[in-house]
Amino acid sequence: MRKSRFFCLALACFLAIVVIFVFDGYLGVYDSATIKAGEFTQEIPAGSWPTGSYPYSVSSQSDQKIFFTYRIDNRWFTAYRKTVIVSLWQQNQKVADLYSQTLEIQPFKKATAEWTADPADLNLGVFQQEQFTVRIEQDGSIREVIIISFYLPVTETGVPKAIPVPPPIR
Amino acid sequence: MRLRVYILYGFGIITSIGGVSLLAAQYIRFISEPVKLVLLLLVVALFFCLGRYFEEIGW
Repeated sequence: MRKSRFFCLALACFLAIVVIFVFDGYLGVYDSATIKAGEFTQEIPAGSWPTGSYPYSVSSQSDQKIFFTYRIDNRWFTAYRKTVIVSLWQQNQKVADLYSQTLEIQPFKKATAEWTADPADLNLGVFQQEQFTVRIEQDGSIREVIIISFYLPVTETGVPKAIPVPPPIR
Repeated sequence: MRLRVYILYGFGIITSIGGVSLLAAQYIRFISEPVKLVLLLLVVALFFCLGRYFEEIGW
């Protein structure tokens, strides 16, 4: 009996570790995002949202749309019902609303929300370089993504003009 | 013959620990910081209890 006491304790520790992994590591509600700006796609995996003063940043040309796909994975035994509100901010002032919808996700199911940030629709015009914050709000939680938008001047394309040959030096 | 058995046991133990570690690494990033500390203490307790158990059975 005494010999198996430590074995039972070790087994109890192992089971406790497994239970913690299941309940704290797997179960819960997880959100992730995919941002496509130009030809670049950036993933923000669940559990990797930065907290504090260094949010994710995405660079984009000011005349290109930015496509957002936001996924919520409900790994819990009850349905998850939350209103997702997405807005665009600049210098702590709201510039535009991008998305607002109430999502109801059944237990162990996923839901996806998609929206597009289009500089043309936002009436932002052409700018040299500006920064925006996309704020994704659910009840009680805020996710932020910084957009660094830059302007590339459009160059005229066409047949290159022939350079005149300089006259010979005498 | 006996050496080969030990090698196979060792291989099995290493691959088992490696597999469990790989699976655990997938989920450990979702675990909150205080619970990570609890997990660390539990792992220490687990190895302590296993060590005492093997000591008592005469290994």
